[in-house]
Amino acid sequence: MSAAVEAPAQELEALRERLAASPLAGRARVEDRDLPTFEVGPADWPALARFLRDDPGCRFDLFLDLAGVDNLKRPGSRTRFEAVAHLHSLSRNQHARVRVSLPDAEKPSLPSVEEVWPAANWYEREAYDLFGIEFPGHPNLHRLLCHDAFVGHALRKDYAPGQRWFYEESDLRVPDWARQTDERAGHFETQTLSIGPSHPATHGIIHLLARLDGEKIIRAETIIGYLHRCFEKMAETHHWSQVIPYADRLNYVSAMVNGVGYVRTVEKMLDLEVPPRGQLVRTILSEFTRIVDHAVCIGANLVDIGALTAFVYLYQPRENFYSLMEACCGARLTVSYVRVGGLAIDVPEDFVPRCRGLLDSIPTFLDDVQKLVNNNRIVRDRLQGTGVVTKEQAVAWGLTGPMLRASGVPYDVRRARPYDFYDRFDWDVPIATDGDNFSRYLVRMEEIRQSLKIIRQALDIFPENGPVNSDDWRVVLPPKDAVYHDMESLIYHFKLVMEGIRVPAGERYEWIEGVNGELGFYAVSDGRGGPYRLKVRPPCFPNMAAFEKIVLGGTVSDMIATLGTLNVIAGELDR
Amino acid sequence: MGKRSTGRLPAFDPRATGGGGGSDFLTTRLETMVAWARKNSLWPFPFATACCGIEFMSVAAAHYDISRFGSEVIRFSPRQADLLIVAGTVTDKMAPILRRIYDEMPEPKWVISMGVCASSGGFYRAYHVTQGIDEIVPVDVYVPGCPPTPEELIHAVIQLQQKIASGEKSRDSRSRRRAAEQPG
Amino acid sequence: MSGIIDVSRSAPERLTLFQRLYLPEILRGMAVTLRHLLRNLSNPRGMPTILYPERKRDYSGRFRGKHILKTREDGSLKCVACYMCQQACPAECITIVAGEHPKVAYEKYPVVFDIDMLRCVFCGFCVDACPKDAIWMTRDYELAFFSREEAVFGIDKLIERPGLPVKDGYGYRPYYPGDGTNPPRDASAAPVVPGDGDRDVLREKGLPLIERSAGAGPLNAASQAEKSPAAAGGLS
Repeated sequence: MSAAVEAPAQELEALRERLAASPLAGRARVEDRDLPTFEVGPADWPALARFLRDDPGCRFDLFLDLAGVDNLKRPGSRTRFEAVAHLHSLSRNQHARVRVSLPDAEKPSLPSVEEVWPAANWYEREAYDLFGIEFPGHPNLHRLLCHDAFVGHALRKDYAPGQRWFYEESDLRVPDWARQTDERAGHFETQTLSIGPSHPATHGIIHLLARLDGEKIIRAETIIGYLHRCFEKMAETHHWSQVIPYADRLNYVSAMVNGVGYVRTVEKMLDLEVPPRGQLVRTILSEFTRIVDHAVCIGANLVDIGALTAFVYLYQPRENFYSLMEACCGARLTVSYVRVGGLAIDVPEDFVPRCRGLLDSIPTFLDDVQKLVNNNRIVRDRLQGTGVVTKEQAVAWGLTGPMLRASGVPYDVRRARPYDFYDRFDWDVPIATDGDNFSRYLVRMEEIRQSLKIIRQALDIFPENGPVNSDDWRVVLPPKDAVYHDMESLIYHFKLVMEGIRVPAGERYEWIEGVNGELGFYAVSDGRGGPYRLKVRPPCFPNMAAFEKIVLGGTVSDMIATLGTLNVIAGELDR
Repeated sequence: MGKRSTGRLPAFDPRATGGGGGSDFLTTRLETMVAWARKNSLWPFPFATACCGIEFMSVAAAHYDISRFGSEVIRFSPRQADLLIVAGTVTDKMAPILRRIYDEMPEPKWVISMGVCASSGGFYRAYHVTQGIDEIVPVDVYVPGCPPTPEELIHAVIQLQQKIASGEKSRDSRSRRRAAEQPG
Repeated sequence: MSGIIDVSRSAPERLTLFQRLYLPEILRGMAVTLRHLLRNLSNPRGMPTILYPERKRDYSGRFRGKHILKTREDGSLKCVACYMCQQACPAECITIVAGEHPKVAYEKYPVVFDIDMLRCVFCGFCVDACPKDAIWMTRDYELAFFSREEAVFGIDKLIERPGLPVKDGYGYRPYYPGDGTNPPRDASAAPVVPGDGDRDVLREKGLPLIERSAGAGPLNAASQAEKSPAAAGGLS
């Protein structure tokens, strides 16, 4: 168990000492929560940000998340708005939280820290869009997720969940640089091309406004929000367990992993242990899900650059995995298999032999694809040397997952803060040093092989029987036999269904290694049956934010190749 | 300023679009042959936005293979497609683009609303989600499921093929009654 | 516990001259695809394609398809309109209107039980929530509608007709054969004692309605029988 899981006393004390020695001594403090939580006022936030990033005892260089919280309906004395940031120190392997309470409830405002961590750019735009928090100093403070004819700030507690606004194409905010014409060298001029949102290679719906000088992109801006399905508002209007189907549809290509991330957050808030068999099922199915997600990513990426056969070959293991998943829980894609405290139902009898059969069949498809792709000149020319991200850029832009690892930073949550038995298995974290598209492809292929290794070891220690669910009936639905015949179980069942799980008031940030990077859930509970606030830290959000910087100087065709390796899933990006 | 969102479009009225020829019921051999050709060569435009898009990819891949039904050519250009499969949630931000794609498709065209999000908004009763694409485009077949299994989508395509073959523009009762009132 | 693996050089950084000529690698790639083609031609049955609609994929007994409302032996719905499935449903697609059942043993029944199939996300939470074993899911997924109105399934489309086979078989359900669950005891399974049930008959006769005392436990015809004055005196 890694020491960075809780905030052990000496680490917290070390941070307190560093803070006391700094110029911010009286103006910020560190609280002891699930993570070391810095509390500071808005005026001192940029100074604290610099301190946290640069101080040798802190070195919080990876900006993970910025969540707005509206405390209007939350008991307790707090300002109406607060901004909660989460940070990670790669060198010290520690997470931290910063809470900034915003005193002005009419016009909440917080200085932008985009200069300290460029990754904060889009998070601040999102907080502006959904809460109305202003960020003076932000270079481009406009709506990000909701459309441009939207009135109001959707995640405020006084905003009705179903209130929609009419939007036409002409309402789209087009930045000034995209509108102007300019002439170069006589007859040539640069042009603005709107790539997307309905485009075969945009993997769902991403819109890139690109200023082109010939084929070269000289300026770009990404417009997202085309799949903003209001996950966070839906979470606030549903019970804890009803959020599970919504969580599945975040990264819909790997539904199981999102579900595991979400229920782990709730389980940690409840201090609930899942039995080992349940944990191993989660691990095995999560790793299979990771394999098939990478397979789709690579397949789609290759389709975008014209290699259609690899897609068909890589889809076969996915279909075989669907059979396995369907045999476990009844659905292929949006599985809703996890529950708080374990799983919905136990795995079928032939689970282990089926898994082993699947394990044996996957490498043949991988080998076929590698034979087609690895030494193919066309693939090399398209993917090698394009979309380069250096190590420093990757950290500054807040990237995680294969994108970060392909730039040389070996940060993987399964290794940094193991959960669900990952520390018991013998496996490697693949990294690459070039940071280009081809490296990301290689990293993903290797991750598939490492996942196969993990699953094999997990199957070796898989217990034949045992419960998959915790037996705490205040959280888990009692078994049906008891519900049908025992009054007390029926009462627990009734209370859980009608009122939801009673999670004690508090907050928690819990994170796992999602397929694209660190998938975190920041949950705030006020003691009712559903979340008061649920913020998802989507791994592809900073990846997509960095996209408009990565494509600069490259051609449009390089942009297509880069977009494929980002593995942007709009369900997670836009929530 | 913001305008509040409008409600659903009324059910598809064959006389309103006037597409596909005069009478609603096929009477001639030529029209039967044309309908046969059309139904067996539906070229889809997968307007894939979310999870249903992944299931559509399954339909296009080896296990189910929609090209067995004539949909060999999956085109991302609306000019070259005649079947618009809206797979996935359509948000209010995406809605005008869906309408534009639908308008750019030449006649005859059909629309399959794949999945509950496209058909009715699904379980996203939310501030940014269109509660059913029939607010924007007329729909021929609604496919339930979240996401529908690939067989369910193929079943819907087969239903659509039967609809095309029968020549009826729409099977809902109001249409049928209106068509029955028409002379000839 | 091992560490980190650098894949940068797992594929050679520069291609050899032979590889840089397009054709050799393309031919090697075509050898792979040709192998697949020949394998498929020689063994068409081995192809992964499922020729729907002639053949269907064999889904498991846990498949989450169309719902089915279970019935008791006498054909009445097991559902007692407790609204738990409606509450559990994240999509709010179930609409129930409860009514008083003339039989005291059954007490409540759904007058209206609608599931909007175009809102349902087939998550199975309703099956998990039901305390009366009244709603299951089947393996039927062949639903396609031409209008949104016809997608709201009422009791007539959802009810399980006793004696008739269930289309495609049962799918996701609250318990499976062999897992040791006893289904809930149904009031009608107990013998119907004269004087118990049929409130309107009791009212007609001017007889007092059955008092339910605290220790009676789940409504059970046998336990009520001894308290019924009609049983003592017999119906005339």
